[in-house]
Amino acid sequence: MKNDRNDDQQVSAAYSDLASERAPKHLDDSVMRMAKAHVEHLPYSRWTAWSRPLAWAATVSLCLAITLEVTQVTSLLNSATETAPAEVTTPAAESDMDQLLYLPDSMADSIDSEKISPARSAAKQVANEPAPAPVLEAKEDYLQKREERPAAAAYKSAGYATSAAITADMPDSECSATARSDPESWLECIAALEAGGDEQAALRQREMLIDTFPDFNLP
Amino acid sequence: MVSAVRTFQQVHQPLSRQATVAYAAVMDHQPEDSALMLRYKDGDLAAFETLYRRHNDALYRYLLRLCRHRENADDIFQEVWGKIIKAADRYRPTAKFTTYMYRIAHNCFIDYLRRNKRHTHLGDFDPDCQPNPGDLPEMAAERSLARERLHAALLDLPDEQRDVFLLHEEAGLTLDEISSVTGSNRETSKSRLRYAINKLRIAIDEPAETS
Repeated sequence: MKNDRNDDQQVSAAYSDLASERAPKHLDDSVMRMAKAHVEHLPYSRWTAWSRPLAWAATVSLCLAITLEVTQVTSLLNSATETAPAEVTTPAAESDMDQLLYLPDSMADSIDSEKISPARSAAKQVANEPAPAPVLEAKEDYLQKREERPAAAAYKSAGYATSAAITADMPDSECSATARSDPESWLECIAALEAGGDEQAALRQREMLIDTFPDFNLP
Repeated sequence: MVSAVRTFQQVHQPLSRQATVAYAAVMDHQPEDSALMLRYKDGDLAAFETLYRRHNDALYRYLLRLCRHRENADDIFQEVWGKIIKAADRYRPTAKFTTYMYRIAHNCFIDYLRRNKRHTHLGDFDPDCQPNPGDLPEMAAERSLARERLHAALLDLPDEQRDVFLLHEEAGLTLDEISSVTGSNRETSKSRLRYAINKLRIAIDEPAETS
């Protein structure tokens, strides 16, 4: 065993002395060129390393941009609605618009109106237009919806006029227009009709009262 | 002559190997081959260069003595590194990198033998040994003669025995790793190595009889 180990060492040493060749330079260059070319054509490499952070950054930027845009549009509309009832645009409202559009007054005044950006012009136009009266609009909507209700349609098909038509064509013998202008007086008129024995007219007037003043609590 | 060779071994061999290991341990931490390969897989060319410089000469000597032709050794050398580079994307450190590399080299050599059925047994290269400037003329002549005999004996070894001996000496592989590279069992590898060493020792010790 010991002799074997000595033989191994002797042969190893002799071989170490013998084997001193080195890889030629042209082979080194060739292999390194191959390695470099492979790295440059890797499907991974730097793009892969940066793709995920870039995707996150793009997503966050997009979300921020959308949020800012929505906030600006909402505040613009709110300010336009608030300033709308005053039919004439006040200097204060115009100043608000300038602030919203990030333009100071001095700068806004110095800019020719034709050179103002389309977005700013549109926003100013919205601010200058008088907004419709909210109460009147709501009442018109209510009346239109009431005409379109299935119950109203059935009522009309059964030979009865709708409340609007009834109130327009109603004879003053039942309840006068003055009495119908106020639910309290209208109710007194209905009570008078009931007392006079005209049950049909009283019932009709009651229904019209409910339709016209749905929020009024009947006794 | 034998005593001169042994004196040379005692002076040079242990000093050089121990010194290398000691300096490597003290100076810096060397990254492992598999770690370098994984870094190259991620696109680090410098890691590959370190890996290449670490193994290029040993692999070249292995192939040179296995093929016994410089041009063929050059071709196979490039082929081996080309395969390592191409397979870098799929590399997984399941075994020692040297085992992985020499398995590729062994397989490339087998392919080379199949392609070249007229494989000659005569070597066409001479060892690049330069005489040691410190040697006396007589010692230098003896060393040169010993090298020539060892070189001739090495080229005369059967391919399998030479392969196992070179894997043991150049790559520093263990018997199990040699078995893994060559695809033979451990006892076969051990037997081939023993035969190879015996033949080489005889060639060194008894030059007159073998020549």
